Amino acid sequence: MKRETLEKLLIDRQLGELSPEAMELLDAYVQGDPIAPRIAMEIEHAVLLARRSMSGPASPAAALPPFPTQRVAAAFQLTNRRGGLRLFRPIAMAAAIGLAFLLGTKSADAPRPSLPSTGTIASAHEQSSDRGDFWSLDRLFSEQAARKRNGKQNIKWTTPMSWPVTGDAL
Amino acid sequence: MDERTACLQQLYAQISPRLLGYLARQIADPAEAEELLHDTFVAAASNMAGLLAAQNREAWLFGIARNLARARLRQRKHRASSPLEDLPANAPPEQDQRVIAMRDAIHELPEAQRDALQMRLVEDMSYAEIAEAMSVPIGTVRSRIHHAVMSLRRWAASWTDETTDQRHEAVRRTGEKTR
Repeated sequence: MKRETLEKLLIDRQLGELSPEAMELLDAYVQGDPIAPRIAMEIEHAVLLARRSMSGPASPAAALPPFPTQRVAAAFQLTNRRGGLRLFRPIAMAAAIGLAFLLGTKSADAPRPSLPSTGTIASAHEQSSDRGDFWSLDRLFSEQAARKRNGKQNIKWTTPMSWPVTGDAL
Repeated sequence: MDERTACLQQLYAQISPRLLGYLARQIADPAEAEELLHDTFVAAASNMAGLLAAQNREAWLFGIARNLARARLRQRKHRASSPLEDLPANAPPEQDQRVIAMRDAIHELPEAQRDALQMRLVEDMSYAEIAEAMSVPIGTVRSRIHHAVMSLRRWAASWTDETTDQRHEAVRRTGEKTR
């Protein structure tokens, strides 16, 4: 057995943390070992001295103070109140998120203020409004037709690894 | 009276003498120890879920008491936080020089080792109870106690050697004088 292991076992034995079976085995080992009895004696000596040094006064208080009933009751009340708040918190959070969402959807319908810088964009949008909405298919086709009329080539990326194929080759 | 209060009162009746002794040794002031004993149970009332979930409720309360005592000792900045140095005046004077010197050696130990050793040697708590009180694995408690005992063993051996040498020296000097 390693000396370190032996020391740990002897400490556990001295402090009563070994099972009776383990204690018997350890005792048998200690009897047959040349240095183990000395180590055991040193540990016992150190533990006894430490116990005496640490024990201090035997009876620190003359009488036991009564149970703090009022303070404990106040602590319970405070805990109950906090518990109620803790339950209310997720509900309040959900309500706040819902309200924010509703307000957000409402504000989308509200008329937007017309700023001087957006005037041009608004007029451009009005020009194209006769061809439908910005994302409508009508507008897409009309844009494509206009592009063809202007001689612009369609570009199709067949693969990112090759050059794009243009115009008639499509 | 509700169940929670009854549970705490029962625990108070069971454990408070030991807990008060522990706190008095930590704080070295009986009045403050009583105050901290009450604080321990008020803290337990604020965290009944923790108390009820604890494997060993007494050890769990010891853990709270230990934390409160440490916080109180930290507040006392004017003095070192050594409960062993702060023995009250009514403590019986120790005659044995080895015991007095051992107090210094114990004071030199790291706080965690010292606390674990005190809980084992003085409060007679098992490793499992200490682990619950300190909120650490039982292996950590075992390791801390082993280190503490080995340090004290080395110290006791060196102290004995020194005193033996001193005695031999004193005997030698006495012998020289008598010649």
